[in-house]
Amino acid sequence: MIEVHNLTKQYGQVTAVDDISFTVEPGLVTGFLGPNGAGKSTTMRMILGLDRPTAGSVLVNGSPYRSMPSPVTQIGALLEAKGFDKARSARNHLLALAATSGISAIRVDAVLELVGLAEVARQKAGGFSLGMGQRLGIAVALLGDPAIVMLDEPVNGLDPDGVLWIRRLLRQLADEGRTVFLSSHLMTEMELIADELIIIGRGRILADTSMTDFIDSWSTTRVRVVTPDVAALQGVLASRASDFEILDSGALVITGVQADEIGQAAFGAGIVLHELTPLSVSLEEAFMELTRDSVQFHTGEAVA
Amino acid sequence: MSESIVLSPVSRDATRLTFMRVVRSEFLKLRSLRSTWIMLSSMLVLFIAFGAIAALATTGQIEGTRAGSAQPVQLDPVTTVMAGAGFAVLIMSVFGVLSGAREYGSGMIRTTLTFVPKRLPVLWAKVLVLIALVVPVAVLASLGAFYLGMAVLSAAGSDTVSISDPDAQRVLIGNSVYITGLAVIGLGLGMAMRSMPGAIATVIGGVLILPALLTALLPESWRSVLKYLPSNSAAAFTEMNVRADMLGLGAGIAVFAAWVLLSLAVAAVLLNQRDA
Repeated sequence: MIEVHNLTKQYGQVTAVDDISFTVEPGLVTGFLGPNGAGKSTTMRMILGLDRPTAGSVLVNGSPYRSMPSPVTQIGALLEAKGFDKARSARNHLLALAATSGISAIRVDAVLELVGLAEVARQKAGGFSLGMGQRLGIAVALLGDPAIVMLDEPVNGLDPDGVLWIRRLLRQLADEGRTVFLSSHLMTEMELIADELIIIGRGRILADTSMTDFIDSWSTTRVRVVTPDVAALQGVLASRASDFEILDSGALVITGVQADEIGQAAFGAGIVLHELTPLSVSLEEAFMELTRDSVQFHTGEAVA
Repeated sequence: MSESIVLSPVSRDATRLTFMRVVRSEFLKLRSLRSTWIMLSSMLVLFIAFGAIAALATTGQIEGTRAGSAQPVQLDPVTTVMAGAGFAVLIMSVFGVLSGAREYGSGMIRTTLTFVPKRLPVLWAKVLVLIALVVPVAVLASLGAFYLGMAVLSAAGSDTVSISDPDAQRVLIGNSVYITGLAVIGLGLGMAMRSMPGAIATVIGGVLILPALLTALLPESWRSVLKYLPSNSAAAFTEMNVRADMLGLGAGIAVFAAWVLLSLAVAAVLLNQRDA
């Protein structure tokens, strides 16, 4: 379990992380989603004690990370795909790190096998592709058989096969009761992996919810209706809908009521419907909508 | 894909961070880099070879190419055979920088500090491993240069000095200490500056070149200050004939040790306080 309390990080005038609090629970895959520069990596570095918070605190399984007697069994992390020496072999890289905590060479070889690097374990890591570098980073994260696995943008640079592999791996780790915390800037990726979702933008938490709640609240509750009797339909649904919007075309967009309920209600009241369309806002669109004000690097509109 | 992730379960009790394990980790890191062995062996070879070449040159067995150098400069035998010490110092101070700053170049340092979040044990382990590697090679190189050089001098019928001579012993041990000390200063600077080029420039320029330059350029009255610079303080135990305006043996050792400790103290404070 990771507990983040009122965490703030300022670099000079820039506030990278602004008073955020959240909890990452064991047994679940928790996605940490946000645009580039939102503060995801900074938060993860503070969890590991690499960056000192300007304010606030983090507890990893109940203790501050820097004071743990056996840190790598508590949390294993992948922060950057190239966090190794190019001149050293993958196996020697792992052996050196394993040595700090008395982890055996047998475990090193087992982890290499697990991430699919056994064949190239004795080659210099400098020759690795980005995807192989990610796999080595994941091997490092799993070395101590940790209770928490924390990965920063783990699918970056992985081929489709590797992406599939890591999804299964993370699911399995969570099913074993571990805490799995991973960041991404891609909603599509989170949709497939995460049980819980923490969305961050400009250093602030924008949403902290389960994936199913997020999907429910965004993608299925807006319905476009075309009817000759707008006022009557509004009257029938007034108690159930949270919002009505009349478009320029005359169509009515109803928020907060499912399409089947609307159809049923209209039928019951004898209101004719010409169109009844659930507006499936994709999660990607929902995410963009949510973080629109907090994207650091807006792309300019293309001039037509 | 359905087999367990826990391929060989890691025992939570046995898996503990200890200082000796961090030392072992740092040793494995340094050992697994080819550059470590290249630098140590080139130090050994150059130190001995330059001593032998200098011995051959002073006995006239190698003719200088410059006109008027037919009459070789007469140095004392120990100074002659230790001619390669300067190269050894250069190579080992770069080696020290490398073992300190290298992880910052790759981003490996953040991985290391994730495994050793208390941080300072990493610095002390690096220092220990560096000393353990440099001292034997430096001693071996000093002895090699001494015996080979003296053999060359003796064969040409020139004066030689015995290993039992107290001053010869002081210079042999002193050079090994100086080489090791500068390697440690290099490590401290490398950790503090987190950049190999910057730290190499600082250790070579600031510690090795600047003091000699200042001594040559500044008026005589500055000597009382300049003798406290690292290389000048070390003259007390690295040179055969210590000039009268330099520090005595005890003071020289104390001042040089203070420089080594200062570089480590700066590195320790910065490592502890800065974001990695």
